[in-house]
Amino acid sequence: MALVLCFMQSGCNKALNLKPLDQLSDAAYWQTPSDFQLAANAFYTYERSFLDVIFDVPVGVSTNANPHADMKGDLVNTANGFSRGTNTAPTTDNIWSTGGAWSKIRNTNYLIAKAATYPKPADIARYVAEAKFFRAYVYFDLLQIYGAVPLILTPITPDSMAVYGPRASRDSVVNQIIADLNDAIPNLPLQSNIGDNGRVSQGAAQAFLSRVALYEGTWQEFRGNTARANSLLDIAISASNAVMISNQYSLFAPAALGDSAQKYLFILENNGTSGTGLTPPADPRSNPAGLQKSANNEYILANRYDHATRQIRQNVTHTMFGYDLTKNFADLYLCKDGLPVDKSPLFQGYSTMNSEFINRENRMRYNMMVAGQYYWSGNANWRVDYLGDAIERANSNGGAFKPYNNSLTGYHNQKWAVEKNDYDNEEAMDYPVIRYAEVLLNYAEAVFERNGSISNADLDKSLNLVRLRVNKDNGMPPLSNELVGANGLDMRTEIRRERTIELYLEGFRVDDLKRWHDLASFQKPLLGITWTGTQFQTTWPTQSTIPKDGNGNLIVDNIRNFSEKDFLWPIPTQQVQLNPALGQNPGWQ
Amino acid sequence: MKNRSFLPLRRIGFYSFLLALLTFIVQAPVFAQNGSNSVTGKITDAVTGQPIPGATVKVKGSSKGVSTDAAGIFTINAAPSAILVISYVGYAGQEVSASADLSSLRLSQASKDLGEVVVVGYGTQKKASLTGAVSVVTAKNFQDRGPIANPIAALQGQVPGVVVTRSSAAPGREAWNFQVRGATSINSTDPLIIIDGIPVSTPIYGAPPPGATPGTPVNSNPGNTGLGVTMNSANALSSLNPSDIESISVLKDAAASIYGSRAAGGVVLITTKKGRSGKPVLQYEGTVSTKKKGLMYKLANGPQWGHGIMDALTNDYFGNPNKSYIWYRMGSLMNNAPDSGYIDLNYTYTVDPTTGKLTYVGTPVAPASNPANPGFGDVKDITFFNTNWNDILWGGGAVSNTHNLSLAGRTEKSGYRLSLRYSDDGSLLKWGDNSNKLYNVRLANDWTITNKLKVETNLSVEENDILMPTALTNGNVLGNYMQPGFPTVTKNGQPYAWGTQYDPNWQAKLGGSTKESNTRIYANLGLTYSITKHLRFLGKVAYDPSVTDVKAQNKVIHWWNYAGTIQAPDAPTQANGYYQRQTTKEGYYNLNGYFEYRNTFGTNHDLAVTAGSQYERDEYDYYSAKTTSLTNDNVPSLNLSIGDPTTKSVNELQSHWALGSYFGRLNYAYKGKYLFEAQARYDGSSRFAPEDRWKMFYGFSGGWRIIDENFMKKQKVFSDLKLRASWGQVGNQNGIGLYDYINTLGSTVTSGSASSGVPLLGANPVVYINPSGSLVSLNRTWETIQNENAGLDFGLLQDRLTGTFDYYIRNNNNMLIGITYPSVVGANAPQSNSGHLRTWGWETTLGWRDQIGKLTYHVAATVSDNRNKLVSLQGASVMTPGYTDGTSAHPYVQGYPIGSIFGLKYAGRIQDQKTADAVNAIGAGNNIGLPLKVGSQPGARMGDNYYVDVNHDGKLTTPGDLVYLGRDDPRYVYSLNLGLEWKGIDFSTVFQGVGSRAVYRGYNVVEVPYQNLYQGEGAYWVGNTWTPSHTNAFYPNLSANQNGQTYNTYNYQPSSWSGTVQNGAYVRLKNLVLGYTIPQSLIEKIKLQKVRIYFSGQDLWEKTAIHDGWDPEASRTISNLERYPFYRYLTFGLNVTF
Repeated sequence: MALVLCFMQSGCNKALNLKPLDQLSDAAYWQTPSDFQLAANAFYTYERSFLDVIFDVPVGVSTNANPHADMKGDLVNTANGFSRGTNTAPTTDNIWSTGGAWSKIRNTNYLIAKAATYPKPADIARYVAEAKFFRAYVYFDLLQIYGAVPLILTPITPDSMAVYGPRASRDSVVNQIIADLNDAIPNLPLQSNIGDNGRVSQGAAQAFLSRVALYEGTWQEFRGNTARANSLLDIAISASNAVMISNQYSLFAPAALGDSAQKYLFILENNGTSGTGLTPPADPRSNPAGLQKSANNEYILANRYDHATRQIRQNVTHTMFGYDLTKNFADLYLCKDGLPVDKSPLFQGYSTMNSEFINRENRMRYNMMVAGQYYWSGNANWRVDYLGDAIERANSNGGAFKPYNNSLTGYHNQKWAVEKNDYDNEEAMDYPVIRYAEVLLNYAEAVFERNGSISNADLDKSLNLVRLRVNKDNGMPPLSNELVGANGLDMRTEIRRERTIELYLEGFRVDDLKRWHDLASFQKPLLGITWTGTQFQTTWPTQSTIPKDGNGNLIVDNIRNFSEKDFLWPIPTQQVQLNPALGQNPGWQ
Repeated sequence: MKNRSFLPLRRIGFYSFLLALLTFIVQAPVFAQNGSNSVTGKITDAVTGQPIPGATVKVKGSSKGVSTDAAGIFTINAAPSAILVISYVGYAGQEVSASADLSSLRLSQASKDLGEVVVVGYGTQKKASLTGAVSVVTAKNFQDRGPIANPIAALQGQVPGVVVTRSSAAPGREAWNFQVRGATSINSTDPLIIIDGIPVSTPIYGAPPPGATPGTPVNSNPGNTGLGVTMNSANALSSLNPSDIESISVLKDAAASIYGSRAAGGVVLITTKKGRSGKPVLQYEGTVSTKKKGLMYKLANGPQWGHGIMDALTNDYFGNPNKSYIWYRMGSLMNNAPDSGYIDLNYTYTVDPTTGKLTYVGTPVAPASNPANPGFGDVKDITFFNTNWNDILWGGGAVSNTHNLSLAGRTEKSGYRLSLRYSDDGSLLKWGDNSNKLYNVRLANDWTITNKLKVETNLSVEENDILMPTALTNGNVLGNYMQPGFPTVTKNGQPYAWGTQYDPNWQAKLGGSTKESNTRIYANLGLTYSITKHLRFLGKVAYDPSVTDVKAQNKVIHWWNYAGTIQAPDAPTQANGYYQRQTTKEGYYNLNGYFEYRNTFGTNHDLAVTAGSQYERDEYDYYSAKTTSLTNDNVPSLNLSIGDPTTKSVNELQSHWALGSYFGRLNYAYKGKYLFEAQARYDGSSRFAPEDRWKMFYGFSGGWRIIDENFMKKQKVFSDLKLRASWGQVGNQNGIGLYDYINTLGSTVTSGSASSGVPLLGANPVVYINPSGSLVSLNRTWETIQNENAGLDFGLLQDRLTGTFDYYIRNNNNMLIGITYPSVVGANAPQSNSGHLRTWGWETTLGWRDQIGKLTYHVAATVSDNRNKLVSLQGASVMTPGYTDGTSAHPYVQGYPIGSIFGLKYAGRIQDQKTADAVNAIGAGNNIGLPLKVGSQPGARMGDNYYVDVNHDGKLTTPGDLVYLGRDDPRYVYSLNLGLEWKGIDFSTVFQGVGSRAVYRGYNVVEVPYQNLYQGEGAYWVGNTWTPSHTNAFYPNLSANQNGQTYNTYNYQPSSWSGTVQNGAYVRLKNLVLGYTIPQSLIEKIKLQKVRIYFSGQDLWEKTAIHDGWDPEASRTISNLERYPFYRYLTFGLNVTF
């Protein structure tokens, strides 16, 4: 039979070459720029979003989740093993795991490796740049969490040497991140040429570079390595400056919103209702001015949502509405004379539930909830007309606000809580992966840390823009060397204060404290309102059993054992067993 | 190139079909003719006197030949001077003059079955010269014994070392499985099944279950159909007509090496019947059967259920239960049921202070705030109907019938056989449509075109239609039953709902059906060309397409409260009800050809050589469409959807594989007593990269026919004695993906506004592509199993006593196992060839056959055992309590068998406070659910179990205190066959059993009382739990794990106490047949040749150590379709030969 003859021929191996029929495979992919674009699209799932910064250890996830959430720090009331320093090294976590950071790095490496053999590199340069941006993005995450990690820059296999190799030094990880970003920057478009909104721009890579360089620069500075610190701070200065002079971004400060601009920035949604059949008729606006997302030129890189096509699917509003904040945080807000509570003659003390809110800078009342005011919170308690009139007050959340009496701090948050009638999980504001305010603050801090001082001019083109965005009309002075000098303030403290106030609940605080080597802030007890002798004592007599400090402040968490070892997380023990060459971070052995 | 090259193949398949049909039509009228010189005779067995049908009668020196009919009668044209040569396989030949008295020619059985031919891979061999471990079952072993649901079932109890299981008794969904000589790998190793030289292809993918949202590829879970049925080749066989089978050979050792890469699980060769010599023979075989509900676990009735709850809660609260707790009140109500049989919670009741019974008052009230309501928010009444769901759902007069008609004959140049079957298997399920219908047509033809060329065709069309209520696939009918108060129907005859629990019977009856229709075609064309006297070429072309079409409907059902006054929300609702259509098409092609050379050199050297090649290809194609929100359910159609696009979903799967092979075998025999065989196969698979694609498998075997030695000539005891030994390799490619060496890419798209995982770039969420999370594997290969076998065949006392014994060892030295690599790899590593499994065992058969006067009888026994040990799993050594199935939750453990069960060492029941104190003393830090003795809580009490602190660390923990408790695979599998024949009466029985098996069902309702308070309960524990007045009870204190206590968790830890790990040994009367063949003299008048009537019974009796009520052959887990009750099967059968 013909078959037998056929097999006598060598060519019949071909009859055994079969390719997948119903799946994409390398055999038929990586042929066009579009193929690379689709692969690069996957990297955008690596961006942080609400889940990463305003939730603490969702149910069913290992306790190593959400390493950047403010819940791991001192601004909000959560007593977890990480903020307390009582956690132990886990067997596995969901970051250092297959499917976690290393899969993301593999996928970026995969695209970069496939691009190496693409015949027209110029056509795909943008996607290679995106791959490098996100490789840097993921490595920076690992750096912040674990410090030194292995450097894997190709799609490796189990028999690669690197699998059982040691960790690369911290410096080489940082150098690689900087090199990837520098490679990416020239091949990325300006924001004005971005095309598909939401993709990485040149400004995003520069802004991220400023974040990385400032992080590592200060990390090294406060661990005694001045030379390394200075070279990194120089990078931070130039990278943030590049964004500032690019004229691509500006702070969101529409006149129509006045001093509430920063508040509505975070809950800016396009018009439209997500609740249907609700009475009274819902206002489609997310802010009193009816501004839409197009008015926002501050978000340099955003994880974007849309009610019709991509909802957040996290219960952001009802998690954040009334969320418990600490006195540690509340006392950071300056009075409107630019002085802290312990120095300002304008400070009204703690005697009533809202006395401390008087004469403070505007962000305090827009980020926190003030007793006696009215608040709205999406589903069931939405804004009707943004007039604050009787109908609207009737639809407010619980009427005139009274701080909750649940053995909590008594300080309550409203950042991230929408006022428009979004159903739970259906909110659709964008998440700022990088926003311009951070770049301005990076610049100020980098300049100060590099030189030990900062000129008023540098402050005015950076930090003061942020500070005065919503404090234009209340007479608040800019931060200046004169203000500092005249009032015995500390410039570094003021720069850090500004950053903490502006960026809270955006995933910066815990990492900032770590790079500043600030054990003291981690170790301070978490405090609530001043109870003894205040209106709270008469309103909440049952809180008498809660421990208080010498000033009559509620102590909500006094187990603050955060120590030197906690600046880095432990590598999951299973990984150390599988590859002893990794070693363990100091103090976790 | 891919598809075009196979067009001719399809065409060949089609032409062979046409040709076969044409041949049949042309030759049908050409029956044997009677001439004037015809002589007639009858041939019977010299011992039994039974007629021998199919014996060949030839005129010496001519090619003329006929064969005897069913009554042993032949008619042939022969001159009176002619010599007739009479022959029949297994009997000594005879020559007789045509003029002699031919009316009672008696043939004697050959003293040894020297002539018996056994089908082996690519050819046949004489049984006497076999050197491998090959078992053969012929048609007479399983025919005329009642219906066989699957031809593989015919091997049960007949072939030592073969274990056949079915996990369900649902018609058409038995989930057949069988193993030859136990486990070969932790990866699946189905035996390779070959019908007439062509492998039965195993579907690569199963279809997702009806009702599942299409879109999840199921290739990660090969073989799973979602209906609880594994799609292995054994199940594909269930539509093969057992009456068409001539013989089944099972290749167990190196004899399977010629099948190379797929022979790891053994090879089963099925040969179908062909036209026999002689006149056309028309046969009818019919059976009518009825099913009787077999073993099944008993259910607690209402008062038992209610008392149990109260007792369990009393124990959990240490004598002081919370009497207002919803389930305590429910239990208490169950013992004080009002005479009306139900409480309508829409009206008020008062409690009679003396009897505790409720008296109807009749003031309207909201059910949720009715004082008579124990606290349910959603129920409208409380009912007390003492329903036994086993009786409600199962039983009835399930009738099955089978009809077979065959016509076979042979002329000088050609033979033909046509067979038809219709079979309808009824169901024990009393609600809804449930049946399995089979339709078969098979046509086998062969014709001699020239002296050198012979062509054969074999065409089979099989239709298998399975009808089943959809509710049986979603767990509502076959899950845990409702509590026993449920009515099966409301007052008005409507379906009843209790809150969100629903009558299972109505779900079966009204919830829609799943109709599965399987069409399988086997078209097989063969050719034999004799090149020289010693050299032949044999070629085959086969095309076996199969189509499975599933139409699944899940209908909206309306529900009411018992009074029929309140309609509950529909379940399923219109938005949840669905209609789904899924079609699977598979095409399997096979081309093979080989040369066969046989010669004898001198007188002492017999040589046979076979060499050839084969190409196979399989193409799988599946698609599915599903819609919810249908206009109405009367007509199941995808067109009737009224939902938006999100209510519709589609899915497709396609795949293919190909295998190219060269194979060969060499047999050499010196003086017919020193036998040697070598075989090899060189396989190339599409699953591997071209450079690593080909691999050689080979084997050797030898035999020594001691009986033929000179020194054996004088002894009288042995009539046969042969030693065999073999060594060979076989391969297994399960666990290797179809496109393993090609990196695949997954694409993700948004599924709407709730799909938050897809980035929004530009105006819309984007599509994104990710490389597969599993690495390609470039360096792994087939598992290679080394088979070693030593065997002895013997016959004594003129072969009255015959037997075989085999001992074997198999080593899977490069078993595919998963290895955990450091996560920096960034993807899941493929399994690698780094495990080692050793399997060893023995098997024996012993048979005795003799006669006493006119009574002939035979007794045969088989016993086999196998053990296995995971010699290397790269150090995996963590024991977990319970059954180890190889998942990460229950990993296999190095040094123990596959499917091991680990548990605590049971020390006994705590009968005094001193023991309880001792247990509590080591209670701290336990992780087995022992409540701690704290404050007023007593910790371990009298009536609880206690366990041994095996590792003496002062606490009871797992894995530290775990010990090996046995394995789920049976050991010491045995069978005993008895047969008697006397004056037309035949009687036979098959007993079959298992000597040892450990059965751990898991911590579930079947094993643990009150695991769920809201469901029905088994009755196994009723009256048999520890109480202060019944201290020798089998079960410990009743508990419901309430009050923060975990006594059930503790007492029902898997342990050596047989309450959790049961002894699965059993013996069962598998088959009993009583038949009567009506004397020839009576039926000749009505022109019939043979009429036999018989009664057969299957699974009529058993003795089992299983104490929870389930059938000993049921699978361990008792979940879903495995809960379908096993049955006893009574059959009346009729065989008529015209």
